Amino acid sequence: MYTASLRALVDELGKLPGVGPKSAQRIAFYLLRIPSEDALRLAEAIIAVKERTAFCPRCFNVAEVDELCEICSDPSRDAGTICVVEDPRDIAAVERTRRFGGTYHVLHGALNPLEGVGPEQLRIQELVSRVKEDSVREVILCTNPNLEGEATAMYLARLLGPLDVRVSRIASGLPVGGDLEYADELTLGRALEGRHDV
Amino acid sequence: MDRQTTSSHTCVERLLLRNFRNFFCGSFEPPLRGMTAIVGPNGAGKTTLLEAIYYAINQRSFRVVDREALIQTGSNTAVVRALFRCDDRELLVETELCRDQRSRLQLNRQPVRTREIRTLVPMTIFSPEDLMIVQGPPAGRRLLLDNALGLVDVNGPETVEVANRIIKQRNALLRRTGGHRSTSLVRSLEVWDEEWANAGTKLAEYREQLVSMLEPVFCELYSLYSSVVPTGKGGMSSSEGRAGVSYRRSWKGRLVDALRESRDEDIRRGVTTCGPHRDDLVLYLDSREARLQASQGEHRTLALALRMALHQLVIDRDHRVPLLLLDDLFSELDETRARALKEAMPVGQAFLTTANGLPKGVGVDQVVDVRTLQLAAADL
Ligand SMILES: [Zn+2]
Repeated sequence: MYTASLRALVDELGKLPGVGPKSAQRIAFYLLRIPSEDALRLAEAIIAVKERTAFCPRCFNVAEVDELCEICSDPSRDAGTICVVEDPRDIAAVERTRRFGGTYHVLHGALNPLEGVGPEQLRIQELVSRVKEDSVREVILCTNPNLEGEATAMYLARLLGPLDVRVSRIASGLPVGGDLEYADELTLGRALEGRHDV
Repeated sequence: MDRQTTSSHTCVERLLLRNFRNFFCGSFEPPLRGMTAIVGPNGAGKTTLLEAIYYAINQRSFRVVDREALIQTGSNTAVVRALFRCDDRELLVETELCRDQRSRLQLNRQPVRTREIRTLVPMTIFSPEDLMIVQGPPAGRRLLLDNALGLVDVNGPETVEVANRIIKQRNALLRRTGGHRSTSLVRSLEVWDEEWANAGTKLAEYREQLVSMLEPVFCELYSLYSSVVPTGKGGMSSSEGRAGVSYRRSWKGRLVDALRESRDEDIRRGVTTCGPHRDDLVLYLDSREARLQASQGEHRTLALALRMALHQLVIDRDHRVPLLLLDDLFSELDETRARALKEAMPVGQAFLTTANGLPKGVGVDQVVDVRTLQLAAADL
């Protein structure tokens, strides 16, 4: 009942993360209904992002092709401090805090042998080169607070340990503005373990 | 003050089954307190009723069956809807099993994870399958402990999950290397060693704490039950009948050191050979390992004492009385012993099935013939 082109569109949409067969159909029929120029803008945006966006050769954040990313090319950012994250989206999260004036390094994943991800699959060697070559004073390990993120942080801490650089790990604790009573026991348990003198 | 009155007890207020095993459609509103005996001829679905309650809480059966067998032949979906009352909260658990898709699970009309229901609705079960706790491989005994680690520490259940994940990651890393040792492998391995040493040690310590809490209750219950239950052949036991329990670590010293020592073997075999995933809960009878000897009756009583000791710990530590499901409790017992065993069961809401009718003199609060719970299509 579908035409070949419609079926192709449904198939492609169905490959997107979080889009099941039902949603793929709904989106495809939505695209059929909207004005041509709206659909073209979407198509062009997809082409443009694939043609003009690549990863920053220094930190592997998203960047224009053959250029440093916005943060690496900003002279006001402190290149002596590197915040290591798993994913470019994590940069946006740290940026929203407005507390960090350094640069980033995106690993593009975390150690996960079950999924075949070892150190070679991550941008770890590039991080080591940056630390050795540039005058980096501090590396902040900002990987996710789950098992794979912790293991990756531990791996990096061991790897960077012998180098002349301060290595730190972000703390995990309680959400601000909430009641202790309503904190889930995992977060509260971790916050207790990570307590410090006052 | 009597501890029973300060505890709130968990109960099933209403149960509805549709196409679950041989129930075309059934509904059940049991008394909220006391023991309900479920009777009926073989194959009428007495155990199915317990299985449905168990399923609502655990999303699996306590019997060894494939999931498909839970759905009535000729139907694609089965539904179990259970209204529980725990700690003065009403919890409506709705679960739908499908042949071709993932099952759906909702708590008070919201999607929910099984683990959450298990924490909210404490339940104890004893069934003929529990003989395997004593006679089967250590994995079953470790699971029994791991499911109860919340009694030791709020981080208990999380530690179990994390440890299970670490061991999978470490084994995946070892498998991928195909037995070859390299500097980069060792560097990666050291990270998972440290993770495994931390979580594994914590896990073993939690289990040990649980066993030491369990031990006095378990021993007391075993001697209580064995005084009323014939444990040896011909009703006479050859042993003194003193039970014991201990946790046996499969490694010595610090786990991190043991791991370093077994590293070459781990690489060669492509699997983690050292840690709490090889530990065991050892049950004793008169200071000898019960698994290797003792009668079937003694094994059954040990399993019952273990289940009920955990039940008692939940009452003592959590101040909650779990729901109690007893499948075929009186199997092979005469009337006097059945009566004594029933009297030894704690108060709360309990369901009991019997294969050959209720033994004479066993006082229960309600007797339900399972056939009366099946609704005809015309009643809907
Ligand atoms: Zn960059």
